[in-house]
Parts: sequence; structure tokens; C-alpha cells
Amino acid sequence: MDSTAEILLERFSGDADTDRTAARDRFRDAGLPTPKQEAWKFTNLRPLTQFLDARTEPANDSTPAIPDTLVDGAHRVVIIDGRIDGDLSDAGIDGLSLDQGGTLQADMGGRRAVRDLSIAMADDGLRITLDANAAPSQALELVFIGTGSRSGGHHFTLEIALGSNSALTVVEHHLGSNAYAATLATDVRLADGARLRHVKLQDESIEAFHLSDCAVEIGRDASHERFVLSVGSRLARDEVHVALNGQGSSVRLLGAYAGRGQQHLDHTTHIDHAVPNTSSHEVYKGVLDDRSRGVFQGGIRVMKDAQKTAGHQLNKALLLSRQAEIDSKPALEIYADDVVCSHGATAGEIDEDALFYLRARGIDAQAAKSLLVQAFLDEVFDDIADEGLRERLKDRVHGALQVEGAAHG
Amino acid sequence: MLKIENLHVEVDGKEIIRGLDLEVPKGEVHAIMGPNGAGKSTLSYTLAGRDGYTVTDGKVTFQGRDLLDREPEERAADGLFLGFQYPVEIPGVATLTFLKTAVNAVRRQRGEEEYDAMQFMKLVRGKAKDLNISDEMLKRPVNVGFSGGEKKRNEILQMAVLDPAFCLLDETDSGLDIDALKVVADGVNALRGPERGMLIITHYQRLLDHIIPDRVHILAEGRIVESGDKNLALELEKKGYASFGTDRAA
Ligand SMILES: Nc1ncnc2c1ncn2[C@@H]1O[C@H](COP(=O)(O)OP(=O)(O)OP(=O)(O)O)[C@@H](O)[C@H]1O
Ligand SMILES: [Mg+2]
Repeated sequence: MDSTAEILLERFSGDADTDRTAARDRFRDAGLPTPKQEAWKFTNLRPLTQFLDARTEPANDSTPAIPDTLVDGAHRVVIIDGRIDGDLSDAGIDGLSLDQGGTLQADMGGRRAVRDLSIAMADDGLRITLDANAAPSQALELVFIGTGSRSGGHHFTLEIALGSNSALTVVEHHLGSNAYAATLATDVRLADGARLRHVKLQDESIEAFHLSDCAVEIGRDASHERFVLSVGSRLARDEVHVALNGQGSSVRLLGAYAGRGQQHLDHTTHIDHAVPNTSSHEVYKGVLDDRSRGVFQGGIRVMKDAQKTAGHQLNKALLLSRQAEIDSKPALEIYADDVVCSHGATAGEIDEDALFYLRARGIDAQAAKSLLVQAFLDEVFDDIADEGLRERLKDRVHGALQVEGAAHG
Repeated sequence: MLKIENLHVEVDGKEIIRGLDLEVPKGEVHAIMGPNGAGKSTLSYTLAGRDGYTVTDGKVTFQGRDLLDREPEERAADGLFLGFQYPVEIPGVATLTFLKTAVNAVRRQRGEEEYDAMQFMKLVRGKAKDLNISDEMLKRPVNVGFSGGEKKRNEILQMAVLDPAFCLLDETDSGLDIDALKVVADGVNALRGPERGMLIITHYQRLLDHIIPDRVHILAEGRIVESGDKNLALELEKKGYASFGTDRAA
């Protein structure tokens, strides 16, 4: 038993919930993952330990500023340091029910450390259920704010269940200030014909840890579109496991990230094509500057019966400094024969010819660089249907890179 | 306006420009001709300030001021324009965005007010029309999927929009069909004026039928080996480079 597990035990001894107990036991037995484990080869959670210890003094005490919604007219739930703030939340959407608390099923098969940790230590949770056939025009926005005023980290569980033929847009906005650890475990279940658009902006404090594990089950003819933009955190891992369980189901996973300083940004995805006629499309693009490090692990598994599967995966990184690094590990396991699968991974530097061309037209080196970086990233944003949201996210990533540029001089 | 004295340039440790002297006074159009590999593009990149082109000796003054210590973007703002022999494709950056960013960057550096969207569109539409460049092309990413000739016309469009004091055109005529050659030549001639200098690099006399040069220079093995009036180009066409001392010691 390692020290983190001990801390956990102390915090939750006497908890009766069986799923939580199961998660706690699993976590206690295994402890925090180490780079010795294949799934954590590139991401070391050791520095996280102190932030999970509830006995340490909180770093500071601040009142959070609540940001504007990313989607115009979105209803929202505000979660501060892992707890829903009812006064700041307004989520009256027709056909949608929100239940506070609840927990998730811990055992998803295989070891899922972040999931176990979140479930075991959850401060609060939210269950979102949408009626069959409902398709509210407003988006639901979940604003997670970390203030660094509570030690022990903030842990939350989220469940999103869409009834058959319903459609919903859920936006997650993670932000904060000071140092803290935030974990999130999410279950998404899409009934037949349901459509979920899920957009996540990870813009945590640059001193924070952000760990999330999302499990998605997609039913017949249902579709899921997920977009994640990661710009915050000193260390972040965004892990998604998708099970295409119904015929005709599809998933699109898109990601963009911008790392600078010493940031470590990990995107880990796994897609299971379990039945015939399913498709997955995956594009992750990252820009890494300074000594930042990116990790992309993309697993696609096509089961024996899953004929007529289409699976495409692309991972591209643009390295702006010699010290920046990307570790990319695609893993395709294909057991069916009638499939079309492809994957590609590239890492490159800024195109010097293009840079000079722009400068020769009067555009200074910094602006030219950022134009090229934008051009590199923009394609991933095209999928975001809501224009306001798309532009806000683009501004955010370009802003992050520009501030960085200015610091370079 | 542009004065090059005893210029020596190395690329990857190899000396390419080897003691080049050239002066283009304002209001004049000069042409440079020379065999493949003579160093013409090396000269243009050096003047535009590209990394990797190391000046080991010599001096270049542009409008009375030392050019070589200026950044590429400053040279552009000073009014030096290089039309590339091989224009670069930039996926993801729309031509219009590129043009607007460039023109406003130059205006800002010159202390002029930036164009707003309306003023800019009016300017570009007019110039694009003269050069047979469609709106659809302007929306495409810079040079991506452009034919060779379209790329060259796009260079002239950039030149027209940026309104430079000095135009340095590196084989802008290569790859143009006869009609496009006329269009480009008209574009260049439209910019000819008493305040502007031009240096035109070409392999072909036919461009000089449209753009009559004040002087013609032959560049071989990294230096100017012969200079004359427009008739030098005609003479060259007949005799080839061999008779112009290109076999001088390497
Ligand atoms: N990076 C490099 N390393 C070594 N030699 C180089 C490099 N770049 C160019 N050169 C050489 O410099 C010489 C001059 O090249 P440059 O492109 O200036 O010729 P040019 O006169 O423009 O020819 P062209 O008429 O074919 O366009 C050539 O011999 C070329 O091979
Ligand atoms: Mg050349």
C-alpha cells in the first residue's frame, strides 16, 4: 500500500457505497500508476501525491471569478472545488433532468487508476439524463473552477445518459487559479439513435493537475462527437474510452492542445469497435513550445465480428522548440478482416520556407509564426458547429500561444 | 537606390556570390540574366534577408541605409519586395488573410494607418481584377493548388497591394503562358515610375520585350560579368553565355 492509498483510506473509512468501496479497494491495492505500467509509460503522476493529501494546508483562499458561458445562451452548472454550487447554477432545460450526487460503476475491466481515484474520493457528482426524443436547443455547460483553497484535491463524477433519438450538447469548462489537483470520472451512455456533442476546454491553472477518465458507450445508430482543447495545467491527462456497441454507431474524437513552459499534456484514447458497421474518426493536433511535453496514445480495437468497420486516426504535433517533445503511440488491434483502418502520426517543426515567405511580406517573425500555428490547428476546430464557441476556443488557444511568444521576445 | 558593393555570400559553407557589384538608381529598371546556378536566386534571397545566406564581405545600401542588418520584415516595410522564383504554399492560411496581414503589417511599420476590412477589400478586388485573379482564388490558402502561372500572378498581386519602393523579381516570367506574360508585364509596367526601382531576373528576352529595361547585366559564377543596355539581352539570345566570360576562373 503506498502513501496515497493510505491517505484515501483515512479520508473515506466508513463509506458504505459499494461502488465507491470497490473503487477504493482497487485503488488501495494498486496505488497511483507508475511509468512501469504500459498505459502510464509517458506520464508520471508522482508529483501529484502531495496534492491528494487532505492533511496539507491549503495554498490560499480565494473567491473564484465566474466566466461567461462559452456557448451563448447555455444553461449551466457551476462546480467549485469539486462541489456543485446551486446558487450559481441554472439548468432548467426541458426534457433534461439533473441529479446531484450519485456515483459511477467502478470496474470497467482493466485498471483505470484515474477513474478509481475519482470515484473513491468524489466530493460530489452529477447525473444528467435526457428524455428519449428530446433535443433541447440550449447547451448545458459545466463550469469546473479550482481555487486552490481546499487541500486533498477535488474529485467529481459525472454521468450523461441520453435517451433514444435524443440530442444534446454538453460543454465542460475547466479553469482555476493556484495549485490543486482535479479529477473527473465520466460515464456517457447513448441509447439508440442518440447524438451527443461534447466539448471540453481544459484551461486549468498552470499550477494544477487535471486528470479525467471518460467512458462512452454508444448504441445502435447513435453518434458521439467529442472535442477537447487542452491549454491549462502543469500536468493533464484526458483519457477517453469509447465502446461502439450498436450497429451503425459512430464516434468523432477531436483534440487540440498547446503546451508551453514545463507543461505535460497527455491525451489517451481507446476505441472498441464491437459490432459490424461502426466508424470512428480521430484527429489530435498539438503545438508544443519550450520544454513542454505532449503524449498521444490512441488505441483502436476491432473485434472479430465487427466487419465493415471504418477507423481513422491522425495525430500531428508541431514542435516550436528544440526542448519540446511528443510521445506518440498508436495501437491498432484488428481481429476482423473486412475493415478500413488507418493511422498516422507526424511531428515536425515550423516550415522555415513558409516563415520566410511571410516575413518577406512584412509580417514579423512572431506574427508569422502564430499565423502558421493557427493554420496548423484550425482544421481541428472546423467540426465545432456553434460558431461562437468555435471562435472563443480558437481565441483561447491562439491567446495562449501568443502570450508565450511575447515572453520569448 | 539599391547599391551592392563587393558582395560575397556563402550558403552552407560554399561561396556562391563572389564579389558582386551592382547599382540600380531610382526610376530605373534593370534586368539580370545568367545561366542556371549562377547565383541569381542566392542574390535575391540575400537581399530579402533569408537565414542561411551568410554575407562574408561587402556592403548593400538601400535608400541610403545599410540593408544587411535589417530583419526580412523590416526590409519589406522599407519597401523592398521580392517576387519569389518558387512561391511558397501555405496550407491553412487564406490568401486574403495573408494579404491583409501583410499590408497592414507593412503600413503599421511605416507609421501609416491600417486598412479596415472595406478599404482592404476594395484595394484587393481592383488589383486582382487587373491580374485576372478570381475571388475564389483569393479565398484559397496561399498558393495551395495554384498552377505555376497562378502562383506568379499571385506574386504580382502581392506586389501591387504592398506598393513597394523597389521590386526584385526572380524569374516571375517562368511558367507563364503568353497571355499571362502580358498580364504580368502590364502589372509590372503599371508600377514603373520615377520613384521606384526594379531588378528583374529572367532567362528570356521575351519578358524584356514587354518590360523594356534601362540596363541589362549578366551574372555568372557569382558576379556581374557584363553590363549593357537592352541590346545586351538580344546579343545574349544569339550568342549564348559562353561568349561572356562565364568560363572565367572558378
Ligand atoms: N544550400 C545550399 N548548399 C550548397 N549549395 C547551394 C545551396 N543552395 C544553393 N546552392 C548552389 O548555389 C548555386 C546558385 O544557386 P541559385 O539558386 O542562386 O542559382 P540561380 O542563378 O538562381 O539559378 P536558376 O537560373 O536555375 O534559378 C547553385 O550551384 C546551387 O546549387
Ligand atoms: Mg534562381
